[in-house]
Amino acid sequence: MVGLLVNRMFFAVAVLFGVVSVTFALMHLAGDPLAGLIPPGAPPDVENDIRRSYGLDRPVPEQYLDFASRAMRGDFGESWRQGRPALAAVLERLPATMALASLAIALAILVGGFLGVAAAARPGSPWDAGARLAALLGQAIPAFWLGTMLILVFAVDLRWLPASGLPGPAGVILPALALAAYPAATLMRLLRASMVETLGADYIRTARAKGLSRRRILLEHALRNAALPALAFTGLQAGFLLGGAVIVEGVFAYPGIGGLALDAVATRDIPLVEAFVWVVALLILGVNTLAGLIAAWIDPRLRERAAAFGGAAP
Amino acid sequence: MKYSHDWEPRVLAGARNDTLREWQDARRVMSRRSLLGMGAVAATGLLVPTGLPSARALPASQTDAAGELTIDLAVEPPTLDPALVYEADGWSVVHSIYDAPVQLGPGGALQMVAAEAMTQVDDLTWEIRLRPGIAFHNGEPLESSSIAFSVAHILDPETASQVAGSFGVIEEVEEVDSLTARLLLSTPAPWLPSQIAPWLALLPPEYAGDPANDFANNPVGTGPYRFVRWDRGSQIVLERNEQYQASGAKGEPIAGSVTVRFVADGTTRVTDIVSGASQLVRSVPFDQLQVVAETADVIAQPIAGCAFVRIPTDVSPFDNPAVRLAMNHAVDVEGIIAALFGGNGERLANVFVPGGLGYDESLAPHVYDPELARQLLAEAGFADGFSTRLAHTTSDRADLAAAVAGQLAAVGIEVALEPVETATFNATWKDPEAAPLRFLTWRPLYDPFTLLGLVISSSGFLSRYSDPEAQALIEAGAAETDPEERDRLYRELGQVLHASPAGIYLWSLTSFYGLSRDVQGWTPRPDDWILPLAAEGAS
Repeated sequence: MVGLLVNRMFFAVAVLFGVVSVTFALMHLAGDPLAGLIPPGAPPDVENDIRRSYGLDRPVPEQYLDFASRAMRGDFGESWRQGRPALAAVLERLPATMALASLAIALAILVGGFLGVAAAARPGSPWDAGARLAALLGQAIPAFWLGTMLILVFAVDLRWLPASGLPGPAGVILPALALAAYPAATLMRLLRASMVETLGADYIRTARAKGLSRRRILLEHALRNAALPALAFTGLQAGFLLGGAVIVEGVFAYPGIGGLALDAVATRDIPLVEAFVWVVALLILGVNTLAGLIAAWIDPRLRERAAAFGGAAP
Repeated sequence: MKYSHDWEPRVLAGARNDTLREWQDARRVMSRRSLLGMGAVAATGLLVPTGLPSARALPASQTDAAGELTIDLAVEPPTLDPALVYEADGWSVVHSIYDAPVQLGPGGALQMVAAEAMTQVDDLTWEIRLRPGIAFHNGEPLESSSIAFSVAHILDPETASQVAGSFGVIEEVEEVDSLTARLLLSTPAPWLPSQIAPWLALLPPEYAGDPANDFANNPVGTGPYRFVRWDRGSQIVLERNEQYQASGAKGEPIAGSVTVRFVADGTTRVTDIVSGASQLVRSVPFDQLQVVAETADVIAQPIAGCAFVRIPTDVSPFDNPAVRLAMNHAVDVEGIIAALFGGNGERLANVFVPGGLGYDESLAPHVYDPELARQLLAEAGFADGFSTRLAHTTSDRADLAAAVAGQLAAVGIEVALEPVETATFNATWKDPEAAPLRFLTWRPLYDPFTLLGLVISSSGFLSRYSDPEAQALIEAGAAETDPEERDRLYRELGQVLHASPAGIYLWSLTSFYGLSRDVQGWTPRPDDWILPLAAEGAS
């Protein structure tokens, strides 16, 4: 287990360094970084002053080295438009996005998990057909459209929930539903497929022959084995959820990091963009590491494989 | 100078008034027709009346001092430092909290806000006398030292304000007495009030001078509302300033507590007003006016601003004035106004707008005449037309640029549209590689100094237009301190720009707001700021 962790840590640092470098390159390739900052019509000496004060008058390799060494420590300087530390501006908005993404993934696991097991328990039944249709819709409907429909039904017609992300717990429900639809649907299909396969295995037949209850076979024997691909998928969803949050937060005017990122890109607030990408990369790495550890806990074979890579098995 | 332009907002839909029923009946007819297979754009174009039976003003001030008001704006300001705010949504918040000495009205007329008087003593001196007895929200008295401090703050390189350049003409602020200050200029600047109105919000020197107070995030002003809280990414909460002197031109507060929310998506703003989450929303998308009109009022407010397609003169074939004239004759601007703005807005003869300095109502816009356009192109040697590119920002309505491009294509000018993000758009004004044509809207235009200086003047930092006659008039207008003579110079300039176009002149701007029928007395403004105020003489 420790070996796996050490492995993951090395990997994480390398990925973070890559992310920092690519962000720097992209933001500089996308045109003059100061495009959004120099007032239209600024005289050349004002432009030079601004360039110097942001350190953009130095050679690009020098800027890169300085940036990379600071970025690896989480220091991105001040947001050009907000005039306060960029990382702080991102972290301030992070809890709202974390609440949204956590609720969405919890909903996806609950709904997708339940539908997946229910559908696999009786393949070909009306239950199965209904669940598969729901999954098809969940995967096909774009989040921004689903969000708008949820607003129309629950906020405009029924008036049960606020239309947009007012501060307070009620504001997170509709955006979380919109965001959860796709991962729930995918989870359901994955789980159903691997459950159906597992339920045909010899050891399940043996369990049946022993006279174990249907519930015990489904939940204790089949689900534990069938859950692995679904778990791996859930880990990978961190990126999707944070990306999807950018869209969904826009639809619901939800005060998370998505809106901040869109704004930062549109106004070329480079420190803010870099801080955002860094935080998101760190989050995705963290979630993936966690998913890897959970998978290793469930499946002893993964632990042995990690040990073979040089780490000491616990 | 006479400005007969009607600045009264029109309530386009709603059940407050019997005269609207007629239109609503007409609208139902339109809806049925739209069901019969009309194109979506054409159908929505008919949702708003082109001739409302009797447009009316909003009811006179009926304020609800204790009430709560929620407003949806589109853009969250990055900071509440007035020197660093450059657009209408930011100004809506800033000028709810702060007062400037003056604001500009139609025709560039000076209207007093925190000042009792602002006069031009001589060509190089403006004098501002503040109203007595005004206090900042923290109790600090408003004195002339605030004027000196606020000017110094804009000019401070540490502030990095984009308007430090124009305020640079102020060489010194002389404090005559505790309420009077004189701005001593290095060169005549008749346009200075147009910079003072949005940017010279009066700061409290003691409070704002202490960096520990972080006034950009915890603003203290003398304005009609005091700052309570800023939930970044979501909303700013304000409460009524009970001490506010409503004698200024801005008006008086209409609510006890105001929550300003930032909702970038137009559809979400619509659902907010329809569901009652907000009572006042900015920029109702044109195709959703009808949805809002079902439950709230839609207000069409003429804005002192213009739309045009910039044409450069430094590259062929646009260096030929006949080509630029042909392009003006090729576009059916009235048709676009009718179909895509519901008839709101006026076709313009140049960049000067109704209610702004230099507007000449006797100068007729170029007529829509595709035949004449083809003939002019043929005479200029482009009988087969030519191909070019037109840039617009991704935040502009794409259908407007597309409509213009489509009509140019009809006379043989093939136009490729290039939507670009705003930062890129602003970085490529003079880039010879960028699209030569660009779709622009510019506001406010009470005083056209900034637009002329930046976009039309041959020395302008955003300009690719050059005409010696126009240049002489632009320079004369920027230095002329007599308002009557300045207006005359700009009218003359308007004729030059009409005959030797700097663009395809399009329409005057209109803003569409959604307003809950529960809100009484709110006054929309021709500068497009949304202030939760009722003003008697705002227009």
